[in-house]
Amino acid sequence: MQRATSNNRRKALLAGSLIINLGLLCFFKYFGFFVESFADFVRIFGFRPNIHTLKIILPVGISFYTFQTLSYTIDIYRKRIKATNDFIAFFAFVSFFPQLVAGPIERARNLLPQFQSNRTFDLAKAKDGVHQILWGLFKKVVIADNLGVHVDNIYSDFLNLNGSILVLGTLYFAIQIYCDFSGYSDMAIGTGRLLGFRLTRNFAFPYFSRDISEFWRRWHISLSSWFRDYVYIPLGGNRTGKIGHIRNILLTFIICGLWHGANWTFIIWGLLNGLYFVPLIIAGKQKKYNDIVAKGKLLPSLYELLQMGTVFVLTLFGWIFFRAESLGQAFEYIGHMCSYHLFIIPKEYRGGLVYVVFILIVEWFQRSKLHGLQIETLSVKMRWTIYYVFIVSIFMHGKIGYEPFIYFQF
Amino acid sequence: MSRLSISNSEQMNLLKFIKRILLFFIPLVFLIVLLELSFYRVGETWHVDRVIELQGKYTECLYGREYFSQQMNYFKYKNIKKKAPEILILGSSRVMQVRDFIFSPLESTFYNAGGMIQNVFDISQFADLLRVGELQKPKVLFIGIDPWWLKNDWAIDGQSWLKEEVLQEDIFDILAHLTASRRFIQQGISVVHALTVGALGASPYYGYPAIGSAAINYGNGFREDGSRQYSPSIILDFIDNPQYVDREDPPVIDRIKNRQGKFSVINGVDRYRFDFLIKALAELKEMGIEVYVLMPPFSNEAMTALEDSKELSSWWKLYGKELPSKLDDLGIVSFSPSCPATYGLDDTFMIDGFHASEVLMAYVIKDIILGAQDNSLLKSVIIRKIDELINSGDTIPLAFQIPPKDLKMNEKEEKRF
Repeated sequence: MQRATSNNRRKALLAGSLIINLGLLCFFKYFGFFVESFADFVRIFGFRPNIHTLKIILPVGISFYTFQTLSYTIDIYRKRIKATNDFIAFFAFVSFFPQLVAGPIERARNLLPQFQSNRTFDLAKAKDGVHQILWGLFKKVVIADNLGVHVDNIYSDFLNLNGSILVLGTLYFAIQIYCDFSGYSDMAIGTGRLLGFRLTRNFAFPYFSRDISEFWRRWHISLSSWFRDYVYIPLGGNRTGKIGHIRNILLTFIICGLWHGANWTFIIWGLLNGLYFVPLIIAGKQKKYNDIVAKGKLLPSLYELLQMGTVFVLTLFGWIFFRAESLGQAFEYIGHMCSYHLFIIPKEYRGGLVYVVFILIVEWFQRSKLHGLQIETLSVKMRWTIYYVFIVSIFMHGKIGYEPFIYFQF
Repeated sequence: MSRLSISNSEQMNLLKFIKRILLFFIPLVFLIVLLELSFYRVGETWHVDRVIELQGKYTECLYGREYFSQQMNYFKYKNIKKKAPEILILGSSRVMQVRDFIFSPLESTFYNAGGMIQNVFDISQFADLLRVGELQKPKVLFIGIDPWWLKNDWAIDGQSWLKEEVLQEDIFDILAHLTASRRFIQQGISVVHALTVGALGASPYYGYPAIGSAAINYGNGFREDGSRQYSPSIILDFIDNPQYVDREDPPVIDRIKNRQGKFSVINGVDRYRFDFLIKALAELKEMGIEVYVLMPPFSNEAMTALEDSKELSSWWKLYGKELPSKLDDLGIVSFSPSCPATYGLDDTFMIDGFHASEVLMAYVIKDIILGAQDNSLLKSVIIRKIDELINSGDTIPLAFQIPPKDLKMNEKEEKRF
């Protein structure tokens, strides 16, 4: 593609690459979904199709490395980077083990040059990398996995539980998925730093966002920026008038939802998040907040608290669809949430609140840092004590046994 | 492709980094070493093969792990392989109380493999092991059958738990060590205590050697004949207060009345499992083994509740009437469900609602021996000795031996138990 002189040829090569990569992704991930959805559609008209879906095993990480390689191809087409002749560097870029299965989705212009240049051992970065791994491990095995037990119990029996427990279930899931995914990202990034690589930051304390736009600049940053650069902007972005802008946002988020999984629940989740942007687009305020909330202050103002609370509640509502196995289940869950006994929380479900409060407090006070365990301002004794406390917590409270990362399924 | 180039200062930084990491992990490594030493010292991480070898060297030696899995199936499997018993008892924990001296003078040919069989598919798996010569066929086989084995939801069809578990040894599993360490710390066990007590130290009350923390601290474990010794605290409590206590939690009688757990029949009983059971037992008989099927005792109150329950009646009928009748047609000797009242006894002869004491099991076995065929090996058993044991002044409803009163657990362990 780089050597091609004719634009048509370059476009054809790009199209070929897109078709092959996306085709493989669609086949492995969406074949069954589209076939079954089509069957459901024709059944409305009274037909009874005899459907055989293939039981295809989804290759681990396919959504992530497909997007990673697509970014390479598209950036060459756009002449933002030069193609590489170094096969080893290229395949190392595609299959770099810390981020292969669940991101961060790296851009070639960021990661590929790092394989092609000399790296040096940086003591400070290596130490911080280890701290970040510890923080990520703690979030995953202590917070996410323990909350996951409550979430699974609640979602499997939600028809028999009262509203307050279902609300808790949603809250627990919000923290579970955040700690699970950001924990993995921290471990991946920390491992990269240990080896002298600089990987893209993937989470920047998203639950302290003041509007949905800020949330999506802080949540799964590598994915949202990928969709921004390769879907949203090519569609026209915000340069097509307000209606066009809304259309582009909704389309981008629907595709983002679909990327997460072959289920209508993910599509609705994506659509919801897109709809949350509409008031901001109409008001022209989608890029208002670029700095951390309450910068330099200990506590947020009442208004900021209200903003963060609103965004949090909106995302909680979206997570109901994300977690549910079907749209029917999601709507039933919502219906049961609005029951009597909304404020009664049985003892067996209260334990998870400790994890929720803990993570929110730690991340609040660390919100100006790269991760929760960047505590270099404390004395050596204090730091080591804290590190030991975390390790002992992982040892004593981490869930034993295989608990897969949620995003491995994507 | 770049190379990782290291200058002198980077080399020094790298060494500094490695030193810091090592220094940081030294206390944790020390803790792990202490924990592992403690486990080894009390015999928790002794391989089951070694335990079996040691048990054979003492007159009596108790084996009971507390922090690691007992590996009960593996333990019993290896014992059967080693001893090649002529009289074997199989079943769940409900037959574990049968002692070897009941079969005097044949006690050395007896082994209690209670606990190995937990569902009907396990019986078939055991028959397979005999058929292929993995285990030597016994001459006499007692099989205790539990009623819940006939439930639809008891084990997935065809899944033998015995098959899945026989060859595992927990001590090689890192996750098992992690779990064990965690429980050890959570229980606040003193590492010093664990290091000083040591395996083959005396088990509480009876004074004989013990391997494993449960055996050493509570006298809870498997004897050399495969029977289970429950913590002697139960016996001391009974001596102080000679009343029946259903020690299951929740009590068996409550489970029956509320149709909980083993006594729930939400998914119904299963004719497939019933037929499978009959077939498996017939297979064993066809191998030339003298098979005796027993339905281990329930407490009097549990038995009454089971017989009176309308909801459980079809299940109980299948187990208590149809099963013995079917076995009778096949020429397999079976004994209907019993309770202490069957032998003119009260519930003080029960450990809990569905576990009989070793004394009550002696009554059950005696009954079976009396009904054995003339050419049976069981006819060599001296019934008079069983009677002497049962009627001995040392025998109480729960046990043949009263623990010596001067041997006590230390106060801390007694409180914990």
